Amino acid sequence: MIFRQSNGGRVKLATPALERIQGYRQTDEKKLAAGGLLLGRHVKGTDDYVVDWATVPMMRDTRQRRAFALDAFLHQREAEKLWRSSGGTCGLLGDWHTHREADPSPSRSDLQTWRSKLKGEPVTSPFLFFVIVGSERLGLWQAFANNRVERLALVN
Amino acid sequence: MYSPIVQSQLMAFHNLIRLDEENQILREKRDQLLERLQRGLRRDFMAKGKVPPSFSTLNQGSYAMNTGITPADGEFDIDVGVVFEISRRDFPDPVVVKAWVRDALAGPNTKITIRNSCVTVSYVKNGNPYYHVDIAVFCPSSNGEQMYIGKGRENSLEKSRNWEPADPKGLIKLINGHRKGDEAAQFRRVIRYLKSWRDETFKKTGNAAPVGIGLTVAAYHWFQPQTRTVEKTQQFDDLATLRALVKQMLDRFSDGFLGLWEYRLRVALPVAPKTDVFARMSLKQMKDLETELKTLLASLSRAGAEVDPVAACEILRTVFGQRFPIPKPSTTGKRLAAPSVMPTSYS
Repeated sequence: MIFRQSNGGRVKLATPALERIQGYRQTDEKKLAAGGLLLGRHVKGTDDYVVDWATVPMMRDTRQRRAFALDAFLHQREAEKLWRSSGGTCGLLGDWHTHREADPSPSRSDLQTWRSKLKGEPVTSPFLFFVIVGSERLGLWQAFANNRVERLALVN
Repeated sequence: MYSPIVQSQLMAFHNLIRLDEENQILREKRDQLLERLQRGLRRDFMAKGKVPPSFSTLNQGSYAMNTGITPADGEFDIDVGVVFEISRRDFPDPVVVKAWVRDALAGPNTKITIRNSCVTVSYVKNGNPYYHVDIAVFCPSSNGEQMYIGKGRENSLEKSRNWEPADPKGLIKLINGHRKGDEAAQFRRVIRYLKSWRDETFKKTGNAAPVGIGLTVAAYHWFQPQTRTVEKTQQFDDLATLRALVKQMLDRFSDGFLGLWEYRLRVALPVAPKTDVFARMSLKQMKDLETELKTLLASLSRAGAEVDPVAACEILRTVFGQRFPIPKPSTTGKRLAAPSVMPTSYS
């Protein structure tokens, strides 16, 4: 899946990341909320990003029907491992979580969470990408340090 | 969209496949062959108590046009022109002259075939094809101003055995003088990409491949350099340029009358005899060519739309073969800060 940023740069959710995320769609009542990190590259010489990998719920995370809490420890370990093995090119680009609605949009609390991440220390990027996986569709948002949040248009 | 990484991989690929003008091995093979031809002609003619014909040579083909590629399968081809100092009136059947060449070069590990436009000498090494030489046979007009190429095979009807007007030097001059500087360099790269696509594609399907000179002349007619400005410097976009050329070629397939109504790609030689360089392709071969060009266009479009240069290069490898270099993902990304994950809750 490819999305377009307002500056013309593109964001690709590569197949391995996408497949991992899609497996957690809350397609029925019994399925619990899920989430994880988006890890990938900022392509040299461009404004393009490739999400190569996504972490998925781990044993310390809290999963309920309507809530997901990510415990940093194990996700941090996986992210660091990838960052190191890629010579520092596969980094933290954002995170993802699921919603029970078909065509998802961020709740007020989602927006607060996103904004707090861009204000937290240390700030390593002027913006982050956030995916919400609905039961039918998936959306990608870009949140900036200046509080701006944009839904990115799907290119294909 | 333009990708500087894909462009640099294309340039690296081009350096890998380009056959150097000054390639020592080919030069030696060609010179050895011409010596053998001279000795063989002397032997055959002296045996009949005749004076052997003298000839001069012309550098021909991709070697002379600086558009050659090294073959993926290892079988090099060399093109050379031999101009006999004879009169068309004395030897109206060019196949007779082509047979002189065949007989003069006959030897072990050698297979010689008289083809319509040349005599092909194939060498075998350890049972495998090693290289082959296409020898085009010419004779000059009596005033020396016009050149004729010997056409026809041994089983050709008399009307198909002709000395046809040709301008081998003129063609080389046109191709070598086409565009200037960086544009001329891109023109050559694009021709070489097309040839490596041709080798890769038609090897797989086993269908008759379009001749290299046809691809070269198509590029001569329809090549339009595409550039992108990146940080105020002009960069050549080979992927977009090749795509635009392939599109042009596809757009020029058309119905036309040539004794019969035929749907084909016609590419006129820009010099005498101004004939269609693909004239010898059958309608079936034309259809295959169109199908393969469509597949090529689709692959180039997909590669061009790819965000990830690694994935784009993987597509290009399917087009150009195993020699196409795919970058390591870690060389395609900027260095990013070490990840620092915060606990997060969504509700």
